[in-house]
Amino acid sequence: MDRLNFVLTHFKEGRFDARRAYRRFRAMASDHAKAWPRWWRPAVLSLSFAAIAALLFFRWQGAVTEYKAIDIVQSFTLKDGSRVTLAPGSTLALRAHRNPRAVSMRGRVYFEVAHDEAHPFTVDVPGARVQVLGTRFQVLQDSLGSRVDVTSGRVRLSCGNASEILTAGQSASASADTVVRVPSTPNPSAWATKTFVYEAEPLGEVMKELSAYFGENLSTASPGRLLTAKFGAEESLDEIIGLIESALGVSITRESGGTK
Amino acid sequence: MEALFRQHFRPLCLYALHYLEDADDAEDIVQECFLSLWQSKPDNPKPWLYTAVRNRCIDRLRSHRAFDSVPEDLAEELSFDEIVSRSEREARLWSAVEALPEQRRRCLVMAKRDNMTYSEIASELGLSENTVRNHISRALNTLRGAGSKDFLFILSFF
Repeated sequence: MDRLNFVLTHFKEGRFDARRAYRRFRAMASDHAKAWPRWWRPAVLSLSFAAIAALLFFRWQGAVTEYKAIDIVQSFTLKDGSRVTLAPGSTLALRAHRNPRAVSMRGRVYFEVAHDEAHPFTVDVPGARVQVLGTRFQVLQDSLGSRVDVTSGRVRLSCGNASEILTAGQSASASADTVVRVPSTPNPSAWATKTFVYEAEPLGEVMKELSAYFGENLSTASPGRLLTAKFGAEESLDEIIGLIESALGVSITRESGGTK
Repeated sequence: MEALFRQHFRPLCLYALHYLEDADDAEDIVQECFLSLWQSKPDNPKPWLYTAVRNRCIDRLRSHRAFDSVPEDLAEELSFDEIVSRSEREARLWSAVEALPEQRRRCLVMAKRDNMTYSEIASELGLSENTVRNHISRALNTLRGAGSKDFLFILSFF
């Protein structure tokens, strides 16, 4: 009899009256019907037409031009004359109708920015921004943050409230609202410029850079010797080693299957 | 629509009452469900209504008690048929209570709902304790048959 007890506990005269509920429903339903007057169709129609027109306009304004390097290094010249070189897997996007000198990117890109005092060039990566006038630099963005290596000119790297001005040969990385300077290598953008340029560089540093670039393990007994030279990055590693060995009279050991 | 109200309104209220324990809330929720039934016009109104009532009750419980899960005792493992037959049985009982002669009903409700003693009821209604006892036992006798399906059939002869 607990069904009965349940019913009796809540029983009240006039409660749960289906007829009264139906009358209330009819009143509510007709309110709902009144809420949509006769002119709602044309009104909605013209509103949505206006919305679509606005959408198309903003889409045209905001149309994104995207550059991609799928599996080889690729260079593009942008509308303003700047040149960008994209490492495989990298992308670069800009809204040409809004501001051709504001780009966003992912991956690793080397920039040769056309000089234009009146229109600063900006590069946005997730969480950080690079502003420049005219210069050459590369931006490397990955899951840990972004790194900028400047080849020539001046660049401002900012991230949140932090920012650093970098000049030729300087590097900094940005992540989590901080910008810190990091040691730079002589030719961080050799993959794009296709050249290695050394000016009185300690041989140890040269070995490190070439090892990383070619994925080999190079070492020498005299890392303190200074090297001034210029090689094309497309020359073979053997050729480069031979040139250094004969120029400085040192010997270089090569072990394959190093870092890469 | 009117037929749907007649058939299902009261069972659905009682179904909601199992979740909410507040009869006015339960009635409001069922009323809202009928309104959205009318707007969405499902093919199968009956299961649709039961599901809608259940979902709304759970929403209401969550918003009021800040529980992110339904209390254990409400997460019932009843099948749809069991729920419907329970709700319809309770609705029949409710109608049977309504159909009792007035004095019997008042005595019964005061005793069961308000937990009053026979002597309290007697003095409230100006009756003797014996009369109250008689009313209640007759009322219970009438209702015993009401749980079963043929009750409505019997009732129609009164």
